[in-house]
Amino acid sequence: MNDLDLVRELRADVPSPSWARLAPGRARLLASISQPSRPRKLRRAVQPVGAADSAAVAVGETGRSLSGRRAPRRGSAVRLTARRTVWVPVVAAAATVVVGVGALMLAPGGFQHAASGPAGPRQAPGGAASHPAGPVAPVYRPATLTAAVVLDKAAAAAARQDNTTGKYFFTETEWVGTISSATGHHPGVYRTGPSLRQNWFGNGVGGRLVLAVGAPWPFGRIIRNATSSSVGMTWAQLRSLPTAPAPLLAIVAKNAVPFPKSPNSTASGEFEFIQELLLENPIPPAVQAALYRVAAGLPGIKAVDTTDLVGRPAVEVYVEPGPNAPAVGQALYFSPVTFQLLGEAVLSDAANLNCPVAGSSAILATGYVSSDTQLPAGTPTKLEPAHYSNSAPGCPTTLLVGTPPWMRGKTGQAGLRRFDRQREHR
Amino acid sequence: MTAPPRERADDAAVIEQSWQEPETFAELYDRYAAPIHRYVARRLGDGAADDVVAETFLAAFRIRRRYDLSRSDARPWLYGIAANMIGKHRRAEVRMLRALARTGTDPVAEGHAERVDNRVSAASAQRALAAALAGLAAGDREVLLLIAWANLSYDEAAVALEIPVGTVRSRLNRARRKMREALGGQDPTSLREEFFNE
Repeated sequence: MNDLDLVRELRADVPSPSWARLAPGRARLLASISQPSRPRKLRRAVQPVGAADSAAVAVGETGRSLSGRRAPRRGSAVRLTARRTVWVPVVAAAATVVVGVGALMLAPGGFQHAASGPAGPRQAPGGAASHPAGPVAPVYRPATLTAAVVLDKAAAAAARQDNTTGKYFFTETEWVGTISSATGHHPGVYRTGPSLRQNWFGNGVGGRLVLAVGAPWPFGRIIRNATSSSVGMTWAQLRSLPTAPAPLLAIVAKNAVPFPKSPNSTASGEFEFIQELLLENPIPPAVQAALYRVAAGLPGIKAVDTTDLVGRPAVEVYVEPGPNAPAVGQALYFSPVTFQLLGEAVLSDAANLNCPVAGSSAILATGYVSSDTQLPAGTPTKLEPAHYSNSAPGCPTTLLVGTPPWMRGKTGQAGLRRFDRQREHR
Repeated sequence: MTAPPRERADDAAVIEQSWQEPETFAELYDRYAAPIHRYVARRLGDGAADDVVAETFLAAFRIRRRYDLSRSDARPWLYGIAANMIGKHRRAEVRMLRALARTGTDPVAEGHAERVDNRVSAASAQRALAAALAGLAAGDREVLLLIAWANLSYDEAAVALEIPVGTVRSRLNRARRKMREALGGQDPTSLREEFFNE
């Protein structure tokens, strides 16, 4: 069997869709065909046509103004589109090991009806994440400092850190994420967490990851290999990143996966890679400082005053999506006092920060330790009340709360044991 | 007495007819929506496929007057439009491939498997392939998958992507070389992450 055959076998079990599944798409097509007002006459040409042209017609229907309001729709072709394309983040069960940076995919239309429910975040006076009344939604205020100033101060603060390392780099985060079946059978995106995540990244040795306290399936101990799960680099590679902004930007740009279409989208991809580098990885202080300086130079970089996932006052730095750019984005949170990194978030709509975060992590403790069971002094073992929302007016997606149908019976210790038994039988 | 079955009109004829009778274009959907849907689902996951396929045909309908009527088979044209739609989700695609490479669990399989246990522990070769696919240049990945998954010929892939056939060949060679390197040159166990009960 050669390499091409192996590629052919990859995902070969993806089935053909049923007619029922294809029917809504056919109905959309017919609806657009029978629409009385036709788009402007397309030029009659015999030569084969660029697929790029066709995509330009179909994508980017929703213009988005930088203020977060939706810009007026442009072009007659827009009318043919039955509904707005919705981006929702999906952290698949397996991707829980990369919380907050899970796979992104286009939601099926089934998610739409979830958004038509009662809008607005539910408020809980106590703010406890597990409170049945729901979490406290963060409030956004105009930034007192620009993003460039914040990042410059963060760089200075990072550079002042001690450069002593240990055998393991430990990070404890409290996080929320999402999980979706990505299927038509159980449409919906569910909120997962808040839960605690403890990560030991080993220097040349395997590390350990503990998903605990409220984590969704699968939770327990995960023995990790010796590369970063977020950026795939080894300890040595992470420690030898350049400290000069130009070569560092080159590495960031090479590794970033930009969105097409907008200069800010390239910046969003680069900012995302910077974010992935900064969380849970043993980045030397000088490199951290350089990463912040690189981020400060990205187009569309913005700051806003708010609170982080656990309610600490924070300056949120993010890249504003450009026109026609997908709305998803990344954010970093900094202390407005010390300018230390507090955490990160994956935004479901970077043009409307009130929309629910797809994922968010708050760093509760971090530092170098000598064993993969050791915790830095003062590491909390309990969840802090979390501040996030599951819905907001004008947002495409309302996150569902509770255990998704396909996860029932698979959560908790019993589910983990069942998972292990099934695994042994394969 | 039944009428003899009508000979199936070729795609170009359907498209030409749709200039005057737009409803005819739905015939093209009936012919190709299923295989294109499966192709998109393999690349972006089940959840994204519905929208991408619908948008593909909406876009195709809009530009149907630009179709080269000398081509009787519309598949390359439609796959080309789909490829462009898929390109808008490139990051999602790469993320899911990386997730498969890293964890052995395929987010793409999640939608149809329903049973979570089916998705875990992909063979190490699959993980290595996924890692290599994620690392390909977008254009190289497009050519490789149009040929391996959509069963397009070199010529058809060239039409779909509007590139010369020579470019299809060189992209495919480059992509396959990377696949072979991934299969041979790497210890697949280095990608393993194990789950343990507490």
